[in-house]
Amino acid sequence: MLLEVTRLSKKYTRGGRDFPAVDNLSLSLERGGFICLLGRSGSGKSTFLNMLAGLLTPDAGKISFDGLDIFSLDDRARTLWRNDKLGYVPQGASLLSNLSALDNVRLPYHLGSRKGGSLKKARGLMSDLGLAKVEKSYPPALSGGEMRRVALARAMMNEPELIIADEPTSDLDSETAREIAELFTLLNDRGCAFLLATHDLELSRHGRVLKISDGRLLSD
Amino acid sequence: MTERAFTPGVLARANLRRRPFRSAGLAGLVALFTFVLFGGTILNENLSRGLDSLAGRLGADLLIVPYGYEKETQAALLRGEPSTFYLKADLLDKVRGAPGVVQASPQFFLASLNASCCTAQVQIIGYDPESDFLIRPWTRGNLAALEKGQVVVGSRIIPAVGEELTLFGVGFAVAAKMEATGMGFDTSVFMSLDDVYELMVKGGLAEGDLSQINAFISSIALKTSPDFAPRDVGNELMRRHALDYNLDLVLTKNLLSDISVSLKNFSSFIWVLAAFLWLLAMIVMSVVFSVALNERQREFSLLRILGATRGWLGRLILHEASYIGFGGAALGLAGAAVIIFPFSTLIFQSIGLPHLRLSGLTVLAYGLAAFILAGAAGPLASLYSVLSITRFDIYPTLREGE
Ligand SMILES: Nc1ncnc2c1ncn2[C@@H]1O[C@H](COP(=O)(O)OP(=O)(O)OP(=O)(O)O)[C@@H](O)[C@H]1O
Ligand SMILES: [Mg+2]
Repeated sequence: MLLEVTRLSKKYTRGGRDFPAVDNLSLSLERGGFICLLGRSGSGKSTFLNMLAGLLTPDAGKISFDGLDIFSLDDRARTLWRNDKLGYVPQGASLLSNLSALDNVRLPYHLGSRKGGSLKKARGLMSDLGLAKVEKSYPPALSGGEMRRVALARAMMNEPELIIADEPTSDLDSETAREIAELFTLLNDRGCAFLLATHDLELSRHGRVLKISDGRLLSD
Repeated sequence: MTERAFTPGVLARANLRRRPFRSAGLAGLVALFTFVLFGGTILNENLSRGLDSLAGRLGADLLIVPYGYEKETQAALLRGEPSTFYLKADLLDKVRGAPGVVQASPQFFLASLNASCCTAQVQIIGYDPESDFLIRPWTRGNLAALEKGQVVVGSRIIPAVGEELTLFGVGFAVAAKMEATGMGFDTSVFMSLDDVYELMVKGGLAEGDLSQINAFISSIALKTSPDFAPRDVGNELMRRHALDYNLDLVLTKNLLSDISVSLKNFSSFIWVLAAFLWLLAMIVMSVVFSVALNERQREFSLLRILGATRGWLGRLILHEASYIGFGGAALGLAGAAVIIFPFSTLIFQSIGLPHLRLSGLTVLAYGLAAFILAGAAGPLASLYSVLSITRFDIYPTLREGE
């Protein structure tokens, strides 16, 4: 198994009272697998995915990636693990507005301790995703669909074993959303595992669908 | 095309370029501070060196002047404000024999109202080339003896050596020029006492009977023996001659101490202003950086998501602050160089104090010190931001930054 999540929980406080945003959730994903988390707004998808990416500390439970308990690592080691193994596309706008599209894609390559250049690889990825024309553009000048594709190219940059994307097709028209979905299938065919959160039924036609409600899985 | 890796420095530059107004505003503040600090210390240092060298080279320990003319003497010597005053000449021999007096040399101050050489008024000083020890140390080249009809001119008097200078219709040959002294000597013309007397008669420069004019001088410069305190020598002279001759004494040390006081005021003003500006720059930058830290929470969280460690982010912030600090400092230095150096003569003239140019090396050293002090304000102001980046989970910070 690439990813094993056991009895993961996270509570938030609202109005002075605790409530579970993610409640005893377990899940496993094999190498090259594809999971779609389907749930209504507020069901706990983002909270769950952020814990998987090591961005939020769970209250209880364990996340093991390739046999490694990621919360046993210190902050620095976990950060470098994420840089190396994981492509994470957060919900909403996630590009750095001070960098061109191309530089956004290149950046993760240089945050680890990799040697050599990133230009050729970044260009290759961008042309694969149909982004050759917007290389030099800055994020404010990109369309919503282009931004998502740039963020995806950026997530691909370090050849991760898993890509986690939080609502990758929200606020996109159905045509553009379908293009993005096709990209996922393409990249998944190349061997990269996917874990998506969405309420887009179109997207959920791909892979295994897990329904989440009030922080619990409904079916599996 | 060579490919640049994304170091914190490269990203910092990209970030600063995309926020030109903020960057320029902060750098401008640092530049202002650097300008004041560097410009101020250079001016200040110029002046105090001028004063030191003046004290060292003003060979006289004491000046005897007519009662009530201390201020005029000071103005004539230091600022070159022309003035005329008299003292009976037979005092000279009496002074020469007094205890503790090693050398004594007379001067005659004559204010000129107009001279063809200069637009400004010129101070004409008659002196005795034989006993002189006041003027000679500043004279350029080797002037064997000053002949009749010859003059020595201050560094800012226009005619060159060998040319002629007309004063009150009388022509004089310029025999030598003086080095720049930074004081009134620079705009003075020196000639023998006899020539001054003759000039006064020919030019009709004084009222009444001028046949006895050579019985007068304006001041006597004294060099005292190292075994005596100049003040004691002066007191003894006053005791002996003050009543008969209506004397006043100027201790050259005191003469300079007046300027020292105004110089001290000037330098404390510069220091206070510089300290104030440094604090202001620090406070403004600290506030701007911490406000920016909040505004940029999402940006920083995104970097963390992509795999930037806390150390990497810290270096990014430090780089941005250093570029602002040291960039601003460089700007301020350049500004000071462009504004202060070309206009330094003008500035000093309007301050009206002796001054001397500093060596290039000294200027460089002061520049470097100002650069480091000013530049360091940037990283120092960002220290709080650097230390406080995301002690917490990344995801909540990302959400807060939305
Ligand atoms: N920091 C927080 N403090 C308190 N409550 C929170 C916090 N973050 C999220 N929540 C709450 O936890 C629940 C789950 O939030 P989460 O963002 O994980 O949902 P989601 O499924 O991603 O929703 P959406 O589809 O709208 O993105 C929601 O009810 C939300 O209001
Ligand atoms: Mg969400």
